[in-house]
Amino acid sequence: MTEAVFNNLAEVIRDEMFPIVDLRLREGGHIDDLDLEEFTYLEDARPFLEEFYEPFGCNLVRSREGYYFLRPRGDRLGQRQLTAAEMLVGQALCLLRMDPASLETRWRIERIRVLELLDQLVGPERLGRALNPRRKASPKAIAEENIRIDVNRAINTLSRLGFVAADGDSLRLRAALLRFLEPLTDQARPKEALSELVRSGRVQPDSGEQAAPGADQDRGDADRDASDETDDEDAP
Amino acid sequence: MTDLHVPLARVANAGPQLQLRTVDICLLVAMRLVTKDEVLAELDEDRLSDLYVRVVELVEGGSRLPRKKATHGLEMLRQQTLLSRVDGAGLVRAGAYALTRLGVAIADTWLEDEALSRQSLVLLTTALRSKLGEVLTSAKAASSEQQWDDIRQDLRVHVASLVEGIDRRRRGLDEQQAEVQARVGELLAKSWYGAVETCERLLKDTTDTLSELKDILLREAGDLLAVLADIQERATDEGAELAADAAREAQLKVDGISAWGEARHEAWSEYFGTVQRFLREHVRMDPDRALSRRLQEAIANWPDDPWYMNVSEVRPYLHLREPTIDRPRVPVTRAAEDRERALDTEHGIDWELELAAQVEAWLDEHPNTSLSQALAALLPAAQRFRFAGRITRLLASRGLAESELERPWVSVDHELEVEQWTIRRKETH
Repeated sequence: MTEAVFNNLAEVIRDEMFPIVDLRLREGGHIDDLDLEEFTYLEDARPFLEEFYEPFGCNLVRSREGYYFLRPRGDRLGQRQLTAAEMLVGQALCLLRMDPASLETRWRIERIRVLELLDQLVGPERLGRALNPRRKASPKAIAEENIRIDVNRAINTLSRLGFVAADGDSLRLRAALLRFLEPLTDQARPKEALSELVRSGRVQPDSGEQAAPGADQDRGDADRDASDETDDEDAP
Repeated sequence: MTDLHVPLARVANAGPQLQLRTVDICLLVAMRLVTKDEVLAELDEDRLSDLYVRVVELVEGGSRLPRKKATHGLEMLRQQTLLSRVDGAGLVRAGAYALTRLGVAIADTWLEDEALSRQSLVLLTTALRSKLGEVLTSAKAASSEQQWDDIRQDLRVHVASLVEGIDRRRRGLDEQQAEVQARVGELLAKSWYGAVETCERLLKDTTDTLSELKDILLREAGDLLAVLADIQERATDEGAELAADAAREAQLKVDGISAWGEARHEAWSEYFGTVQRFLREHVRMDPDRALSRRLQEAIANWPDDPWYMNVSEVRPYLHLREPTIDRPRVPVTRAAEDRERALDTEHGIDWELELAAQVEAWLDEHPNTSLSQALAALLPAAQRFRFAGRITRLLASRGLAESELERPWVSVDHELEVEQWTIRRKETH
């Protein structure tokens, strides 16, 4: 019988991996066995960390495919929805992961494949609007450039969240992409499956507030980084 | 770094070119297969021509003039030094032909039985070990330069050719692996769940082969390297540097093959893991491939029934400001004042009148004068040209101006000359 690595929560928190893993999870990151150190730490500390995150109003989830993430149940920890572009690009990446052709390259693909697939499935005319509903119509060349920018930005965000590992133009498709399949798994009752996911807080359906993803997209990562200044104004 | 100049210059001087059609390559392969079991790997002209006709029939479905085509095709192969005449009888009788080294290499590239297998590897490593044993025995007994030279030849020719044999078959195995990977992808794309068993069998076979090869290579490479190191040490001790170099080169080659075995095994392990995971997560969980279709539809129909994934996000910490005390705001005031000021009266000097008075006074004092004298007296220090005209005009109006028919030019001062006039004061009544 193997000896437990951690005997109590204090030991888990004292471990040098704790701040790294904790921050990544709180930032919406997904951790799989490609991040071997973090993954091993989570495997060892899982019972204690599940208990640790409970009072924060969120669950530490270990998926069937073997990746970890935090699922917030309320607003205590903070959460956000992925944008339309991130959802579309994430679903396209998930589809590419399910393609047997990507096995030969061990789930490594070129960035351009995502754009090609979206172009093929959604069509060039609708793609721009689908990625960013708030963007106004523009000449073809500018619209194409905007699509490239939107897709690349979405890929970068998904990379930060641990759905893909980006290395220049090459992308490694990670197990967490299977989260994009969640509402589709119950084939007989897709609507009920989606409702169940909404009830559990895993996903958010489209609503009047869903224009927000576009706005969020416009805001971009740079603005998000600069949020400290905005918060200063709101401070008491 | 290897010097490329000499070998490249030699090749460039020879100016070789290769132009091969499928039927030509097929003939090389056919010739290699036909002569494989013969004592002399050669064919006479008639048999070679028959073989070419047969190949054309198989590959291209025949030809209108098969013999003519064969003659031309074989001549092309000879010109490209893929076939060579080996009987040396010239025009005396029909010739015998064999494949050149280049022809053999091309044919072997297309033959499939060159992949490394457990049997071929064991055979080759056993032969290599046996040969090295002989070389080591010779090295132990070697005392003359000639003996060490024989050892060097053995290492260069026999050992190197055996190592190259493994190396060539290694490339064959690489190709086999690539084919298996492509086949697994094709099978899954075509049959999905129905291809699981075939894929697993393909994976297992290749994994078993690679594991065996890796084990054999690891085990054998250690023994072979030890023997080669022994030979190298003895050669170095005896001062046979060339033999020592040959042993070192052979070690590098054996080492390279051993490293290849490990690298391929590692790469295959990654592929094996990926496919197993794919089968588990996608194929077995979704035997009808309905999920892929649903996901494809969801993307194509976006934004019908869209949904957005929730992820946790760290809220940035709020920064507290220093507290500030609110004081009553006192407006800054001052007495109103009239910004408009009263105008001042300025009495200007009428320079026209002033000048006229000066001219009058001058004429009063000098009733008979000349223009140059008047100007010399009345011109101000500044604006001399401007005032010269005005003074002249006043003199002309106030006095009587007379002149000679030819008016001389006289200078007023060092920078001004005028036509000379005589001015007399007008008598006032």
